[in-house]
Amino acid sequence: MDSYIKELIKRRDLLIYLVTSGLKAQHRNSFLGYFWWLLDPLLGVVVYYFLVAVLFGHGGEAYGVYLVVGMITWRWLSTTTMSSAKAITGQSGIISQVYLPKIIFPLGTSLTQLVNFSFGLVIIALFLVYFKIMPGVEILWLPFIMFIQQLFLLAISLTLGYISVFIRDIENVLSHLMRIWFYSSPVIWEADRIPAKYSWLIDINPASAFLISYRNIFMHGSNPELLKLLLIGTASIIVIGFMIYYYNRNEHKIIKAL
Amino acid sequence: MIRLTDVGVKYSFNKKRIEFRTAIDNLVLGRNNKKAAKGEFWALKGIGFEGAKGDIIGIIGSNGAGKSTLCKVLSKLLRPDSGEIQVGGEISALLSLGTGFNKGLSGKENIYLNGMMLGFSRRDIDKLYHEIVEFSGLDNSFIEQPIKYYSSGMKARLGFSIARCWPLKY
Repeated sequence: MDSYIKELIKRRDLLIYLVTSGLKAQHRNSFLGYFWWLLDPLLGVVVYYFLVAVLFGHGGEAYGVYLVVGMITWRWLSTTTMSSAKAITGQSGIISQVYLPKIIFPLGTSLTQLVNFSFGLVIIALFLVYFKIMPGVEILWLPFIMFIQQLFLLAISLTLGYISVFIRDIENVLSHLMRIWFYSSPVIWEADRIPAKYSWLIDINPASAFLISYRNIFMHGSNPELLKLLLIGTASIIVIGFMIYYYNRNEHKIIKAL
Repeated sequence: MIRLTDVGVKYSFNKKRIEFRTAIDNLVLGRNNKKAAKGEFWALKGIGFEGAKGDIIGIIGSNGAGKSTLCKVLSKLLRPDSGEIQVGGEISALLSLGTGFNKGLSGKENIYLNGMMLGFSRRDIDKLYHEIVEFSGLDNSFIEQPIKYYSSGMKARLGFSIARCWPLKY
Protein backbone atom coordinates (compact mmCIF):
# COMPACT_ATOMS: atom_id res chain seq x y z
CA MET A 1 0.00 0.00 0.00
CA ASP A 2 2.94 2.30 0.73
CA SER A 3 4.37 1.85 -2.73
CA TYR A 4 0.96 2.42 -4.26
CA ILE A 5 0.61 5.77 -2.54
CA LYS A 6 4.17 6.65 -3.55
CA GLU A 7 3.36 5.76 -7.15
CA LEU A 8 0.30 7.97 -6.91
CA ILE A 9 2.33 10.88 -5.55
CA LYS A 10 4.78 10.43 -8.40
CA ARG A 11 1.87 10.91 -10.78
CA ARG A 12 0.56 14.09 -9.18
CA ASP A 13 1.47 16.15 -12.24
CA LEU A 14 -0.74 13.90 -14.33
CA LEU A 15 -3.56 14.18 -11.81
CA ILE A 16 -3.43 17.97 -11.87
CA TYR A 17 -3.26 17.91 -15.64
CA LEU A 18 -6.24 15.58 -15.97
CA VAL A 19 -8.27 17.90 -13.77
CA THR A 20 -7.32 21.17 -15.46
CA SER A 21 -7.47 19.87 -19.02
CA GLY A 22 -10.80 18.19 -18.29
CA LEU A 23 -12.18 21.48 -17.02
CA LYS A 24 -10.91 23.36 -20.03
CA ALA A 25 -12.17 20.82 -22.55
CA GLN A 26 -15.69 20.89 -21.04
CA HIS A 27 -16.80 24.19 -22.50
CA ARG A 28 -14.13 24.89 -25.06
CA ASN A 29 -16.39 24.82 -28.10
CA SER A 30 -19.39 26.63 -26.70
CA PHE A 31 -20.10 30.25 -27.58
CA LEU A 32 -20.24 31.36 -23.95
CA GLY A 33 -17.10 29.43 -23.05
CA TYR A 34 -16.02 29.59 -19.41
CA PHE A 35 -19.11 31.62 -18.59
CA TRP A 36 -20.92 28.26 -18.43
CA TRP A 37 -19.09 27.51 -15.21
CA LEU A 38 -21.36 30.12 -13.60
CA LEU A 39 -24.36 29.73 -15.88
CA ASP A 40 -24.76 25.98 -15.38
CA PRO A 41 -25.47 26.10 -11.63
CA LEU A 42 -27.53 29.29 -12.03
CA LEU A 43 -29.90 27.79 -14.60
CA GLY A 44 -30.46 24.76 -12.38
CA VAL A 45 -31.69 27.09 -9.65
CA VAL A 46 -33.88 29.15 -11.96
CA VAL A 47 -35.82 26.09 -13.15
CA TYR A 48 -36.76 24.97 -9.64
CA TYR A 49 -37.40 28.51 -8.44
CA PHE A 50 -39.92 28.86 -11.23
CA LEU A 51 -41.47 25.50 -10.37
CA VAL A 52 -41.79 25.94 -6.62
CA ALA A 53 -42.08 29.66 -6.00
CA VAL A 54 -43.92 30.77 -9.15
CA LEU A 55 -46.02 27.77 -10.20
CA PHE A 56 -46.79 26.23 -6.79
CA GLY A 57 -46.64 29.52 -4.90
CA HIS A 58 -44.67 27.94 -2.06
CA GLY A 59 -41.49 29.00 -0.39
CA GLY A 60 -40.92 31.82 2.05
CA GLU A 61 -39.21 35.15 1.73
CA ALA A 62 -35.64 33.99 1.34
CA TYR A 63 -36.56 30.90 -0.64
CA GLY A 64 -34.24 31.99 -3.44
CA VAL A 65 -31.22 31.72 -1.17
CA TYR A 66 -32.52 28.54 0.41
CA LEU A 67 -32.86 27.00 -3.02
CA VAL A 68 -29.55 28.20 -4.42
CA VAL A 69 -27.58 26.81 -1.47
CA GLY A 70 -29.47 23.53 -1.77
CA MET A 71 -29.17 23.17 -5.51
CA ILE A 72 -25.46 23.95 -5.66
CA THR A 73 -24.65 21.59 -2.82
CA TRP A 74 -26.75 18.91 -4.46
CA ARG A 75 -25.17 19.55 -7.85
CA TRP A 76 -21.74 18.84 -6.43
CA LEU A 77 -22.99 15.63 -4.92
CA SER A 78 -24.89 14.35 -7.94
CA THR A 79 -22.41 15.28 -10.69
CA THR A 80 -19.58 13.66 -8.77
CA THR A 81 -21.55 10.49 -8.19
CA MET A 82 -22.78 10.26 -11.76
CA SER A 83 -19.44 10.99 -13.38
CA SER A 84 -17.47 8.70 -11.10
CA ALA A 85 -19.40 5.71 -12.43
CA LYS A 86 -17.80 6.50 -15.79
CA ALA A 87 -14.45 7.59 -14.39
CA ILE A 88 -12.63 4.34 -15.13
CA THR A 89 -14.80 2.79 -17.84
CA GLY A 90 -14.60 5.99 -19.90
CA GLN A 91 -10.80 5.86 -19.95
CA SER A 92 -10.50 2.34 -21.31
CA GLY A 93 -8.38 3.60 -24.22
CA ILE A 94 -5.68 4.83 -21.89
CA ILE A 95 -5.97 2.12 -19.27
CA SER A 96 -5.42 -0.71 -21.74
CA GLN A 97 -2.27 0.94 -23.12
CA VAL A 98 -0.27 2.39 -20.24
CA TYR A 99 0.22 1.34 -16.67
CA LEU A 100 -1.26 3.88 -14.30
CA PRO A 101 -2.56 3.62 -10.77
CA LYS A 102 -6.23 3.38 -11.68
CA ILE A 103 -7.31 5.25 -8.58
CA ILE A 104 -6.11 8.41 -10.30
CA PHE A 105 -9.22 8.57 -12.51
CA PRO A 106 -11.97 8.66 -9.87
CA LEU A 107 -9.70 10.93 -7.86
CA GLY A 108 -9.44 13.32 -10.79
CA THR A 109 -13.18 13.22 -11.40
CA SER A 110 -14.05 14.21 -7.87
CA LEU A 111 -11.46 17.00 -7.79
CA THR A 112 -12.85 18.39 -11.05
CA GLN A 113 -16.25 18.65 -9.42
CA LEU A 114 -14.73 20.42 -6.43
CA VAL A 115 -13.61 23.17 -8.80
CA ASN A 116 -17.09 23.32 -10.32
CA PHE A 117 -18.56 23.69 -6.83
CA SER A 118 -16.23 26.62 -6.12
CA PHE A 119 -17.81 28.43 -9.05
CA GLY A 120 -21.17 27.60 -7.53
CA LEU A 121 -20.07 29.47 -4.40
CA VAL A 122 -19.85 32.62 -6.52
CA ILE A 123 -23.52 32.16 -7.43
CA ILE A 124 -24.41 31.69 -3.77
CA ALA A 125 -22.57 34.91 -2.94
CA LEU A 126 -24.52 36.78 -5.63
CA PHE A 127 -27.83 35.55 -4.19
CA LEU A 128 -26.80 36.52 -0.66
CA VAL A 129 -26.07 40.03 -1.88
CA TYR A 130 -29.32 40.26 -3.82
CA PHE A 131 -31.44 39.04 -0.90
CA LYS A 132 -29.40 41.23 1.48
CA ILE A 133 -28.41 38.38 3.78
CA MET A 134 -25.16 38.85 5.63
CA PRO A 135 -23.61 35.62 6.95
CA GLY A 136 -21.99 35.84 10.38
CA VAL A 137 -18.65 34.52 11.60
CA GLU A 138 -20.06 31.02 11.20
CA ILE A 139 -19.09 31.33 7.55
CA LEU A 140 -15.60 30.32 8.69
CA TRP A 141 -16.94 26.76 8.92
CA LEU A 142 -17.26 26.67 5.14
CA PRO A 143 -13.85 25.08 4.36
CA PHE A 144 -14.51 22.47 7.04
CA ILE A 145 -17.89 21.45 5.62
CA MET A 146 -16.44 21.38 2.11
CA PHE A 147 -13.57 19.22 3.29
CA ILE A 148 -15.94 16.69 4.85
CA GLN A 149 -18.13 16.66 1.76
CA GLN A 150 -15.07 16.14 -0.42
CA LEU A 151 -14.07 13.15 1.73
CA PHE A 152 -17.59 11.78 1.50
CA LEU A 153 -17.66 12.17 -2.28
CA LEU A 154 -14.21 10.69 -2.64
CA ALA A 155 -15.35 7.60 -0.76
CA ILE A 156 -18.34 7.32 -3.09
CA SER A 157 -16.42 7.86 -6.31
CA LEU A 158 -13.58 5.46 -5.51
CA THR A 159 -16.15 2.78 -4.73
CA LEU A 160 -18.46 3.43 -7.67
CA GLY A 161 -15.61 3.85 -10.12
CA TYR A 162 -14.32 0.39 -9.32
CA ILE A 163 -17.59 -1.46 -9.07
CA SER A 164 -19.05 -0.09 -12.28
CA VAL A 165 -16.21 -1.65 -14.26
CA PHE A 166 -17.57 -5.04 -13.34
CA ILE A 167 -21.25 -4.25 -13.05
CA ARG A 168 -22.10 -1.94 -15.92
CA ASP A 169 -25.73 -1.82 -14.84
CA ILE A 170 -24.73 0.65 -12.15
CA GLU A 171 -24.67 3.51 -14.64
CA ASN A 172 -28.26 2.77 -15.62
CA VAL A 173 -29.52 2.35 -12.08
CA LEU A 174 -27.69 5.38 -10.78
CA SER A 175 -29.68 8.09 -12.51
CA HIS A 176 -32.87 6.72 -10.98
CA LEU A 177 -31.36 6.31 -7.54
CA MET A 178 -30.08 9.86 -7.68
CA ARG A 179 -33.55 11.15 -8.44
CA ILE A 180 -34.97 9.32 -5.42
CA TRP A 181 -32.14 10.68 -3.30
CA PHE A 182 -32.79 14.19 -4.63
CA TYR A 183 -36.45 14.19 -3.65
CA SER A 184 -35.82 12.58 -0.27
CA SER A 185 -33.27 15.24 0.62
CA PRO A 186 -34.24 18.74 1.67
CA VAL A 187 -32.98 20.38 -1.52
CA ILE A 188 -36.12 22.03 -2.84
CA TRP A 189 -38.39 21.40 0.14
CA GLU A 190 -37.81 22.88 3.54
CA ALA A 191 -36.39 20.56 6.17
CA ASP A 192 -38.47 21.86 9.09
CA ARG A 193 -41.75 21.27 7.26
CA ILE A 194 -41.38 17.51 7.20
CA PRO A 195 -43.95 15.62 9.37
CA ALA A 196 -42.39 14.20 12.55
CA LYS A 197 -43.27 10.73 11.33
CA TYR A 198 -40.78 11.05 8.49
CA SER A 199 -38.04 13.02 10.20
CA TRP A 200 -35.84 9.92 10.22
CA LEU A 201 -35.50 10.48 6.48
CA ILE A 202 -33.42 13.54 7.27
CA ASP A 203 -31.52 11.94 10.13
CA ILE A 204 -30.15 9.05 8.15
CA ASN A 205 -29.41 11.03 5.00
CA PRO A 206 -25.81 12.30 4.75
CA ALA A 207 -26.89 14.74 2.03
CA SER A 208 -29.21 16.51 4.45
CA ALA A 209 -26.39 16.94 6.95
CA PHE A 210 -24.48 18.92 4.32
CA LEU A 211 -27.53 20.84 3.12
CA ILE A 212 -28.55 21.89 6.63
CA SER A 213 -24.98 22.78 7.59
CA TYR A 214 -24.44 25.03 4.58
CA ARG A 215 -27.76 26.75 5.14
CA ASN A 216 -26.97 27.22 8.81
CA ILE A 217 -23.74 29.05 8.10
CA PHE A 218 -24.97 31.02 5.07
CA MET A 219 -28.49 32.00 6.13
CA HIS A 220 -29.19 31.36 9.78
CA GLY A 221 -25.92 32.41 11.36
CA SER A 222 -25.74 29.17 13.33
CA ASN A 223 -23.25 26.35 13.57
CA PRO A 224 -23.14 23.37 11.20
CA GLU A 225 -24.27 19.93 12.34
CA LEU A 226 -20.84 19.14 13.73
CA LEU A 227 -21.53 15.72 15.18
CA LYS A 228 -23.04 14.34 12.00
CA LEU A 229 -20.30 15.84 9.86
CA LEU A 230 -17.59 14.32 12.02
CA LEU A 231 -19.34 10.99 11.82
CA ILE A 232 -19.58 11.17 8.03
CA GLY A 233 -15.95 12.29 7.80
CA THR A 234 -14.71 9.39 9.92
CA ALA A 235 -16.72 6.85 7.99
CA SER A 236 -15.47 8.31 4.70
CA ILE A 237 -11.84 8.16 5.76
CA ILE A 238 -12.26 4.50 6.66
CA VAL A 239 -13.83 3.76 3.27
CA ILE A 240 -11.13 5.72 1.42
CA GLY A 241 -8.38 3.88 3.26
CA PHE A 242 -9.97 0.56 2.48
CA MET A 243 -10.44 1.48 -1.19
CA ILE A 244 -6.77 2.46 -1.60
CA TYR A 245 -5.85 -0.91 -0.16
CA TYR A 246 -8.39 -2.59 -2.41
CA TYR A 247 -7.26 -0.84 -5.59
CA ASN A 248 -3.69 -1.78 -4.81
CA ARG A 249 -4.59 -5.45 -4.52
CA ASN A 250 -7.19 -5.76 -7.25
CA GLU A 251 -6.79 -3.10 -9.88
CA HIS A 252 -5.05 -5.47 -12.30
CA LYS A 253 -8.43 -7.11 -12.79
CA ILE A 254 -9.82 -3.92 -14.28
CA ILE A 255 -8.02 -4.17 -17.61
CA LYS A 256 -9.38 -7.63 -18.28
CA ALA A 257 -12.92 -6.52 -17.66
CA LEU A 258 -12.85 -3.35 -19.75
CA MET B 1 17.43 -8.04 -17.28
CA ILE B 2 14.12 -9.62 -18.03
CA ARG B 3 13.22 -13.16 -17.16
CA LEU B 4 9.93 -14.91 -17.74
CA THR B 5 9.26 -18.40 -16.48
CA ASP B 6 6.20 -20.35 -17.49
CA VAL B 7 4.03 -17.26 -17.77
CA GLY B 8 0.36 -17.70 -18.52
CA VAL B 9 -2.47 -15.23 -18.88
CA LYS B 10 -6.03 -16.29 -18.54
CA TYR B 11 -9.19 -14.51 -19.60
CA SER B 12 -12.21 -15.93 -17.90
CA PHE B 13 -15.74 -15.26 -18.92
CA ASN B 14 -18.09 -14.83 -16.08
CA LYS B 15 -20.09 -18.00 -16.37
CA LYS B 16 -22.67 -17.02 -13.79
CA ARG B 17 -23.26 -13.67 -15.46
CA ILE B 18 -23.90 -15.26 -18.86
CA GLU B 19 -26.20 -17.83 -17.33
CA PHE B 20 -28.05 -15.15 -15.42
CA ARG B 21 -28.48 -13.02 -18.52
CA THR B 22 -29.73 -15.96 -20.57
CA ALA B 23 -32.21 -16.74 -17.83
CA ILE B 24 -33.47 -13.14 -17.85
CA ASP B 25 -33.72 -13.18 -21.66
CA ASN B 26 -35.67 -16.43 -21.51
CA LEU B 27 -37.98 -15.04 -18.88
CA VAL B 28 -38.75 -11.89 -20.86
CA LEU B 29 -39.00 -13.53 -24.26
CA GLY B 30 -40.65 -16.69 -22.97
CA ARG B 31 -38.25 -19.08 -24.67
CA ASN B 32 -36.08 -21.77 -23.36
CA ASN B 33 -32.65 -21.26 -24.82
CA LYS B 34 -29.52 -22.63 -23.30
CA LYS B 35 -26.32 -20.82 -24.04
CA ALA B 36 -23.17 -22.75 -23.46
CA ALA B 37 -20.92 -20.56 -21.38
CA LYS B 38 -17.29 -21.24 -22.01
CA GLY B 39 -15.33 -20.91 -18.84
CA GLU B 40 -11.90 -19.55 -19.61
CA PHE B 41 -9.35 -18.88 -22.29
CA TRP B 42 -5.59 -18.91 -21.97
CA ALA B 43 -4.14 -16.14 -24.12
CA LEU B 44 -0.62 -17.10 -23.04
CA LYS B 45 0.56 -20.39 -21.68
CA GLY B 46 3.97 -21.56 -20.63
CA ILE B 47 5.94 -18.60 -21.97
CA GLY B 48 9.54 -18.41 -20.86
CA PHE B 49 12.55 -16.48 -22.10
CA GLU B 50 15.36 -14.30 -20.90
CA GLY B 51 16.66 -11.00 -22.15
CA ALA B 52 19.80 -9.27 -21.05
CA LYS B 53 20.74 -5.62 -21.32
CA GLY B 54 21.33 -4.66 -24.94
CA ASP B 55 19.38 -7.54 -26.41
CA ILE B 56 16.87 -6.82 -29.12
CA ILE B 57 14.12 -9.36 -29.15
CA GLY B 58 11.54 -9.74 -31.89
CA ILE B 59 8.31 -11.57 -31.38
CA ILE B 60 6.57 -13.07 -34.39
CA GLY B 61 3.19 -14.72 -34.52
CA SER B 62 -0.10 -14.78 -36.37
CA ASN B 63 -3.15 -12.79 -35.35
CA GLY B 64 -4.28 -13.62 -31.86
CA ALA B 65 -1.08 -15.43 -31.00
CA GLY B 66 -0.63 -13.25 -27.94
CA LYS B 67 2.14 -10.82 -28.94
CA SER B 68 0.36 -7.80 -27.53
CA THR B 69 -0.71 -9.72 -24.47
CA LEU B 70 2.93 -10.59 -23.85
CA CYS B 71 3.87 -6.92 -24.16
CA LYS B 72 1.14 -6.03 -21.72
CA VAL B 73 2.53 -8.54 -19.24
CA LEU B 74 6.01 -7.09 -19.67
CA SER B 75 4.81 -3.57 -19.06
CA LYS B 76 2.95 -4.52 -15.86
CA LEU B 77 -0.44 -3.90 -17.44
CA LEU B 78 -1.50 -7.48 -16.97
CA ARG B 79 -0.56 -9.63 -14.05
CA PRO B 80 0.27 -13.21 -15.10
CA ASP B 81 -2.14 -15.82 -13.79
CA SER B 82 0.58 -18.39 -13.66
CA GLY B 83 4.35 -18.35 -13.74
CA GLU B 84 6.66 -15.56 -12.80
CA ILE B 85 8.15 -12.46 -14.29
CA GLN B 86 11.29 -10.71 -13.10
CA VAL B 87 12.29 -7.33 -14.37
CA GLY B 88 15.35 -5.37 -13.36
CA GLY B 89 14.88 -1.69 -14.06
CA GLU B 90 11.95 0.23 -15.37
CA ILE B 91 9.85 -0.62 -18.35
CA SER B 92 7.93 1.91 -20.32
CA ALA B 93 5.98 0.48 -23.15
CA LEU B 94 4.51 2.06 -26.18
CA LEU B 95 1.83 -0.26 -27.40
CA SER B 96 0.35 2.05 -29.98
CA LEU B 97 0.93 5.55 -31.30
CA GLY B 98 -1.28 8.33 -30.12
CA THR B 99 -2.32 6.54 -26.95
CA GLY B 100 -4.81 8.50 -24.94
CA PHE B 101 -5.00 11.44 -27.29
CA ASN B 102 -7.81 13.68 -26.19
CA LYS B 103 -9.46 15.12 -29.29
CA GLY B 104 -10.66 18.24 -27.55
CA LEU B 105 -7.19 19.22 -26.37
CA SER B 106 -4.52 20.91 -28.45
CA GLY B 107 -1.45 19.18 -29.81
CA LYS B 108 0.66 20.84 -27.14
CA GLU B 109 -1.61 19.69 -24.33
CA ASN B 110 -1.66 16.19 -25.73
CA ILE B 111 2.13 16.06 -25.74
CA TYR B 112 2.10 16.87 -22.04
CA LEU B 113 -0.70 14.47 -21.28
CA ASN B 114 1.01 11.67 -23.16
CA GLY B 115 4.36 12.25 -21.48
CA MET B 116 2.80 12.34 -18.04
CA MET B 117 1.02 9.09 -18.70
CA LEU B 118 4.34 7.48 -19.49
CA GLY B 119 5.55 8.74 -16.13
CA PHE B 120 7.48 11.88 -17.01
CA SER B 121 7.17 14.99 -14.90
CA ARG B 122 6.08 18.33 -16.25
CA ARG B 123 9.65 19.57 -16.10
CA ASP B 124 11.00 16.62 -18.11
CA ILE B 125 8.48 17.39 -20.81
CA ASP B 126 9.28 21.10 -20.82
CA LYS B 127 12.80 20.16 -21.86
CA LEU B 128 11.70 17.80 -24.62
CA TYR B 129 8.77 19.76 -25.92
CA HIS B 130 10.57 21.70 -28.65
CA GLU B 131 12.34 18.64 -29.94
CA ILE B 132 9.04 16.83 -30.26
CA VAL B 133 7.33 19.66 -32.11
CA GLU B 134 10.30 20.12 -34.40
CA PHE B 135 10.51 16.43 -35.22
CA SER B 136 6.81 16.25 -35.98
CA GLY B 137 7.20 19.08 -38.47
CA LEU B 138 3.83 20.48 -37.44
CA ASP B 139 3.18 24.16 -37.97
CA ASN B 140 3.31 26.33 -34.88
CA SER B 141 -0.22 27.49 -35.58
CA PHE B 142 -1.48 23.91 -35.59
CA ILE B 143 0.20 22.82 -32.40
CA GLU B 144 -2.13 25.11 -30.40
CA GLN B 145 -5.28 23.80 -32.13
CA PRO B 146 -7.42 20.93 -30.83
CA ILE B 147 -6.25 17.79 -32.56
CA LYS B 148 -9.67 17.00 -33.88
CA TYR B 149 -8.87 19.53 -36.61
CA TYR B 150 -5.72 17.61 -37.55
CA SER B 151 -5.57 15.45 -40.63
CA SER B 152 -4.95 11.78 -39.96
CA GLY B 153 -1.41 12.23 -41.29
CA MET B 154 -0.76 15.04 -38.86
CA LYS B 155 -2.05 12.98 -35.97
CA ALA B 156 0.20 10.11 -36.98
CA ARG B 157 3.18 12.45 -37.19
CA LEU B 158 2.50 13.87 -33.75
CA GLY B 159 1.99 10.40 -32.31
CA PHE B 160 5.22 9.16 -33.80
CA SER B 161 7.36 12.07 -32.73
CA ILE B 162 5.98 11.85 -29.21
CA ALA B 163 6.90 8.17 -29.16
CA ARG B 164 10.35 8.76 -30.61
CA CYS B 165 11.51 11.55 -28.37
CA TRP B 166 11.15 10.09 -24.90
CA PRO B 167 14.57 9.31 -23.50
CA LEU B 168 14.50 5.55 -23.41
CA LYS B 169 17.49 3.61 -22.22
CA TYR B 170 18.69 0.63 -24.18
